Parts: sequence; structure tokens; C-alpha cells
Amino acid sequence: MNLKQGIHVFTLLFVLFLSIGFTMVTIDSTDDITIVEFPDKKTVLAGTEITINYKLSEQVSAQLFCHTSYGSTIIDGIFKNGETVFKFPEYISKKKGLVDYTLVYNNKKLHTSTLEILTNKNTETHMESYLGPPSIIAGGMDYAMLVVVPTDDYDNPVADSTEVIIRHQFLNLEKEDIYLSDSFIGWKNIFSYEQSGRILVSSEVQNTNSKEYAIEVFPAQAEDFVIRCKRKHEYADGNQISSFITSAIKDQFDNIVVDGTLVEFSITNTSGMLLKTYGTTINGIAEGKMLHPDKKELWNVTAYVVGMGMSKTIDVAYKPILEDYTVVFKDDNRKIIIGPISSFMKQILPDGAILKLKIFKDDTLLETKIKTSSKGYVIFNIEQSFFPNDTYTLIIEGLGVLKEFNDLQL
Amino acid sequence: MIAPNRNIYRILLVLSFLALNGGILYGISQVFLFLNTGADRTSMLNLTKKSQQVYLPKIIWKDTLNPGRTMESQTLSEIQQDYLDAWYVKNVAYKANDSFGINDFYTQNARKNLYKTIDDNSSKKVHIEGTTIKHNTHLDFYSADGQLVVFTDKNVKEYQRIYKEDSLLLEKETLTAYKVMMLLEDGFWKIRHMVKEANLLEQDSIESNKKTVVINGKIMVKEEPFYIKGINYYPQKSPWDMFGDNFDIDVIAEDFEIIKAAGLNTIRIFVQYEDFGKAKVSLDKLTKLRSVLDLAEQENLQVVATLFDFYGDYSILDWTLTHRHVEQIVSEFKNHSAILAWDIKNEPNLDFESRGKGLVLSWLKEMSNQIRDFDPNHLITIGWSDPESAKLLLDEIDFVSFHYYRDLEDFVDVYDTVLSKIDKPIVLQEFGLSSNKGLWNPFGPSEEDQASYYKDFQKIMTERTMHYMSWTLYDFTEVPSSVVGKLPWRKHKQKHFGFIDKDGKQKKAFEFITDK
Repeated sequence: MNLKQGIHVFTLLFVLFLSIGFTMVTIDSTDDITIVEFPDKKTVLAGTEITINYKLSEQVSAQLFCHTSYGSTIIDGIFKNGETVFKFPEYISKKKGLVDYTLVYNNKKLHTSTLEILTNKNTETHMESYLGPPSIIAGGMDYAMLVVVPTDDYDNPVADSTEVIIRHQFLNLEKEDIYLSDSFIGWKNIFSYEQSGRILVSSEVQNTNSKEYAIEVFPAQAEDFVIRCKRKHEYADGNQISSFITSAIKDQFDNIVVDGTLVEFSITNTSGMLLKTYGTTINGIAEGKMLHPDKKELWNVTAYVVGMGMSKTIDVAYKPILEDYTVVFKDDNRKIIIGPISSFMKQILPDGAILKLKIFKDDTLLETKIKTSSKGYVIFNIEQSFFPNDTYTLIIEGLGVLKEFNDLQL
Repeated sequence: MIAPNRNIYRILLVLSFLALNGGILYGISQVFLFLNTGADRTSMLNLTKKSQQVYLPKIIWKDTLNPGRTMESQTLSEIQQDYLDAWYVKNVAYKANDSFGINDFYTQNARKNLYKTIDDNSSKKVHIEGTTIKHNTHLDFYSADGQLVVFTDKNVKEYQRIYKEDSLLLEKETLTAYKVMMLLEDGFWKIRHMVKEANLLEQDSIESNKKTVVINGKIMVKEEPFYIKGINYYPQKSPWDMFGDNFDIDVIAEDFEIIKAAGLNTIRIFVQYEDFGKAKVSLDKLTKLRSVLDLAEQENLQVVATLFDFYGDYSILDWTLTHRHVEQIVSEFKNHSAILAWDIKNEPNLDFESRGKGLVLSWLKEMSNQIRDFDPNHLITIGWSDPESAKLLLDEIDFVSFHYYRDLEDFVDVYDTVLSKIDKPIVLQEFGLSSNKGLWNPFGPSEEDQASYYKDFQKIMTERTMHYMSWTLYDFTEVPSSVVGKLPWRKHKQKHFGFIDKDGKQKKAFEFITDK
């Protein structure tokens, strides 16, 4: 590069620098903007058109930052009659609550103020009702709560101290209460009465009525009750069924307990063993069933609605169907025929009665054979392969009769 | 001549054969490796995902008395969680102008309002980054069936940055009150109504025990003027990882004795954000920190604790997590008499370029409020990396801290210009010279240069009764790459700033560690 070229390049660069230097100078006029007239709105009804008007010293494109109940946004101003006008979008002007707004120009906050948007009472009122729990217990201790959330047409909760009328009906009673709303809501605790049944509830706000709501009032806890026994005969035939039937079970206010209340029937027999059967109530009455015993018995029966009420204990006695039966030994005493077994009218005992044969050798129980009767007979066979020829003691047990045959030669 | 040539060919042949085989084996192993990656096999089990806490503004239930039903603590915590989540999804939605997640936390009628705002902002190319910082909730009503709740959230501190076409339009902090109705729907508490209300300011009074204060430009400790003669401290074996696995309280105790014997009265230590457990600070780390502070108290050393070391996010949705981090640390030690000051962050001005100056400054400002709320007893400072940044955020701090690694000759000039503008105590929080003359820096300063640097510096500082903290006690053998990068000459420099060399011998500069 010779000297001449160097001078050219230098001059070029110099001119370039100069031009940049001069174009960089701009006038920043932010500080000059002043507000001549401030907006004067303080409260507005929801749903009306909302504009914020500023009169600025110069017509510049300022912006308005709005901070509302559900979020924030920026509104661009438009010029109208020498004023800068900011029109709120509908979704802001329709919603209740404070709107904090800030006038911004060139990233500077010029003015901050607040506007309150109020619930619009002139629009149709809507209502949401929340009723719970849906079922309660009779007696005046339990209650359901009705919460009414009234809003205007734009879904804004009504102002505090709006009248909320809550009505309810039960049997012959109709009641109306007036409450003042607070924290968006009007509410009432509706307590149960002594009777069970259904309470109907409704509400009204600013001439808008709710639909009908129902509270189911269930009977309270079961009280004590009585039971009786119903059976075809009093014989212990091991075949028929005895029913135990409760009186109508009621709560302390004489309401019949809910259908389906479980009742447990507890039976203690002569030997102290416990038998149980269950039934559920229909119209307060439950029925438990039990097969007759197959020997003479005395049952003590008590019924429970567990944890709540119980019946008085009743005694139920069963007579034996026979005093004795014949036992015949055949085939060197290896075939034992029991029968004919006859029942209380000398009729052949219905099939299925259980008899046991116990085989002992020198006081040691070798086997218990169990068979059910068929056509009035039970036949036991003692096989030679299992019991070699010897003397055995046999005991036959069943239907309340016990027979012992000592030292029988097989 | 032929034979060696042939041998060379043989060797080459064998080597290339080996290399080829090696290459093939490596290739096959890479294919295997690739086939073995992918979804974790346990993902087949569809185990419950651990929910991550992403939004933790401070929320305090001021009262839960209400005419409806007694509030159960279980329900209250569910309501609180869903309410904060509702704020979180709203903040996220307005940031991206995307309605994802709104359905879960706003009922059908309420979510319309958010959708409309999102649509409008989206069409205007406006987006808003925001977070709430504090909520004070008062229960107004809880229904008998446990399905409806109304409460007022007062003094909701909200911070927002509003962008138009991706450039920042304004930044706004608001204190607001909201009345909120939530309904229990599908197992979620969802917002049904939300109305912004007049906010009556209620100030929580915070009492300081006045252990450390700044009066008339003087740092006072226990009512006596205090002049910081300090040192930045890392144990020699665990630089930039003081509270890690190599934590040894006995080593630190010996170091503190050395520091005390040298005539120093203050140390600066570093608390790392991630290492301490981010939003959920680990108890183990707090115990370690406490033992260090207790030791400092025994040795009568004051401690400047630098928080948020290695933190660099600053994003607005991350703010509340950092607030919970600082709450757990700062409130734990608010009555500890070893602490002189909380240094919010080391050299945050270095993040101005990458994260945005405005964002970093807002974060620091809010963080100073947080620290003052949780610990009114100790001073607050920010460790700027250069004297020019020292004029920032003066209202938020109690004393100014800056670092100086430039030429010694310029210092007096710079210091006097910085000092003349600021009426708060000024601490030279880091300075020093690396005696790194060696392979990586053949013309660098020697130990003698380092000694004379400190000697001259002490003279300047004595003349001005300056607060100072030198960098650092030890030469280090290892410097993590996260500190100065991977370049070996940079690491090398960082290894030689100490007053004591890697063999534990005092370097020549040690004589000038203080002005005595």
C-alpha cells in the first residue's frame, strides 16, 4: 500500500466516523410529555363500555397497562378530540374487581390509578347452589348446608349484603329465611326434624329463583326391639326351618329404620355353641332362618342391629322325634343295619338324618363313619381288610340317641 | 536395504490389521451401547412420578376461623397446593400465551376469562412474565360438605415484566388483595371466582437485635466500630467446594487459627445454591455451615457469607425457589453472632450480559427484601466484580462490596472516584495477585512481585482506613472447570493467588496479609 492509498483510506474512514457520529444524535422527548388532564372515573358497572381518557401535552402513542382480577394486558391508546383514549376490551370491562392501570410512554410510567368495576345489578341474576351432604339423619342434630352463589349476567359474584332468600319445606312446614350475602355467598344450615322424609329446598335472589333441591332425611339409630319365632312344628327333625322375626325396628323418634338394615340373630344351644343367621329389614322387619336341630334342644335367641339396638332374648325348645331305633347286626356283625327310623307320627324319617358309627379297639378310636339316612335306614359296613377279625367296641350316635356295643366279635 | 523395508511393511501391515480390528470392535460396541439406551425399564411399571416443586411463594394462613366448618389441616394443605398451582399455571400461560394446564385449576366459567386474556395478549404480541412472591390468606368460608371454600388473599406481592413484541415495556411490582372461591372438582380444588379487591396494607413488624448495623457510614458490631481486615477463605483441599465430601472441621479449625494469628478479623465463605439443595436445603449442609460459624465465633472471626454461588438462572418463575432457599439458610442463622453480613451473590454483574441487567437487578432487589424479612439482624451486601457496578442497588444494601484485580497504579484513582459518590461503607471484597510465573506464564508475577503488590496495597489501604478482604489464603492444586473454564493457563493462574503455597509454606506475601 503506497502513501497515497493510505491517505485515501484514512479520509474515507474519517468521513464514515463523522457521519455515524452525527446520525447518532437523536432527541429523546420522553421527559417532555406531561399529563394535562387525568381520567376521573372511579367506579363503573360491569358490562358498560369503559374508556380511560388522558389529555397529554403532546399527541404521542402511549400505552396503558391494566392489572385485573384474572390477568394483565396492554392497551394501545387512540387519539380522539385531542385526548388519548384507552378502551378496555370487553373481557376486562365485564369482570368485577379493581383494575389498576398505569400509563406508559417510552418504557416510563407516567401515571398510575385504580378503577373499580362493580357487579351489574341491572342484568339478569344467575345462581349456583351447592347443597351438601345430600342425606342427613333425623332428630335435629344433623344438617345439610345450602350455599347460594348468585352472579350477574357476566358471571360476577353479587355485591355483599345482597338479599338471599332460602326456603324449605318438610311435611306440613314451609319456611322462608332472608340472609345477606357475604364473601360472594348466602348460606343456611338446614337441620333435620324428628321425622324422617325429604326436605325440599330452594332459593331466590333478586327475583331469580333456583330449581328445587332435596335433602333425604334418614331415620336415626335403631332402638331395642322384640323378636318371635315362627316354625312349622316343634320337633327337632333336622329338616324343617324355623324363622326368627323382629318387630318393626324404629329409631328414638318412631321412624322405621331404613330398609336393608342388617340384623344379626345369635343363637346359643344347650351345649353352649353359638349359631348365627342374618336378615335385612323391609319396613323395619327382618327375618332370620335356621334349620331345626336333629335332637332335643333349647335355643336362646337374641337379635342385634350391631352397635345400635338389640332384642330381648327368647327361648325356643325342640322336642325329640324318637326315643330309640333298632340296630340289626349281620354278616358276622360286619353289616350294621339301623332302622327303620320313624319320626314323631311314626312316618318314615325324611332322608338326610345324620348318624355316626364310632369304632374303638381297647378304648382307642379307630374310625368314625358318618352316613345320612335313606328311606328310613342307615347301613354301615365294616370291611375285613381294614378291621381284621377281633373284638371291637362300637358306638352308634345320632338323633339324640346313643347306643354302645361292647367287645363285639367281628 | 531390502530387509528393513520389508520389516517396515510387515509392521505397518500388522498395525493396520490391529487398528482395523480395534475399529470394528469399537463400532460393534457402540451399536450395542446404542441399543441398550432408551427408556428406563422401570418405566414399564408406570410408577407414581415424584412431583417436583416448581412454585414456592411464601404463603401464610393468617386465620382459618370461619362460620361454615372447621378447617382440617389436610384439606388446607390441599387447597394451598392447588391455589398456588393455579397461580403457577396462570403465570406460565401468560408467559407463553398458551392455555396449557388452565383446565386443571380453573372451573369452566372461570377459565374463559384467562383464555380471553391469553387470546388478546397473543394477538397484541404482548407477553407477561410474572410471579407472586408472598400470599397472606384468610379463610372466609368452608362449606359443611367440604366442597367449597372462600378466602381472601391479602398483600399478594406480584412481580411482572411486560413485553411487547419481545422487548421489555415495563416492570411492575404490585401489592394486591384477591377474594377467591374454589370448588372441589374431580379431586382438584379449582378457582371458580377471583375478584381483585382493595388491599389494606398490613405491615409485619420486624425487629432487629442490632448486632450489626451501619451508622454514619461506619460498620458497627456490638456497638463498636468494626474495620474489616479479612480474607476470602476456602480450605486448601476443597476449593469451591467447602461443604462437600471433603469437609473436615479440624482442617478449618487450624486454618482459622492461622487467620486469627495473622491479625485478620473476618473471613468470606461461599454457600453454593445447588450444593446446598436448591429450594430444599439439606440439613447436613446446614449442620456443616453451623459448625464453621461456631468455630468462627470461638476464634472471634466475623463471617461474610456469600449466597447463591454458581447460581445463574434468575428467571422469574425460578424466583420463589431461590426465596425458599435463602429463607431456610438465613432464618436458621439469624441469631448467629459470627455473621457480619449476607453477601447476596458473588459478582452478579457478570451475568448482566447473558441474563439481562434488568432481570438480574430485580432478582437482587427482591432477594434483599427476602433476606431482610427473614434476618433483620445482619447486614446485606452484593459482591460486585468491578468498581463501576458499585453504584447499583445502593438502597438495598448496607455496605458496598467490590472486587479489584486491575493494575495497582489505577486503584487510588478508581477508589477515590467510587468513594466520592457513595455514602455507605465500602469494602474491597476481593483483590490479589497470582504468583503464577511458570510454564503457562513465563513473564507472570513472581512471589516477590506478589509480596510487593500486597505491601503497596496495604499502604494505600492504611492511609484510607479501608475495609478489605484479600483473595485468598491458599494456593490450590485443583481448580474446578466451572470456576474459570477449562483452559489450563487460566486454571494455573487461579492456583497461585494464595498467601500459603501448596506445601503449606508461607509465601513472601504473607508478611503483608495485614498492615501490622
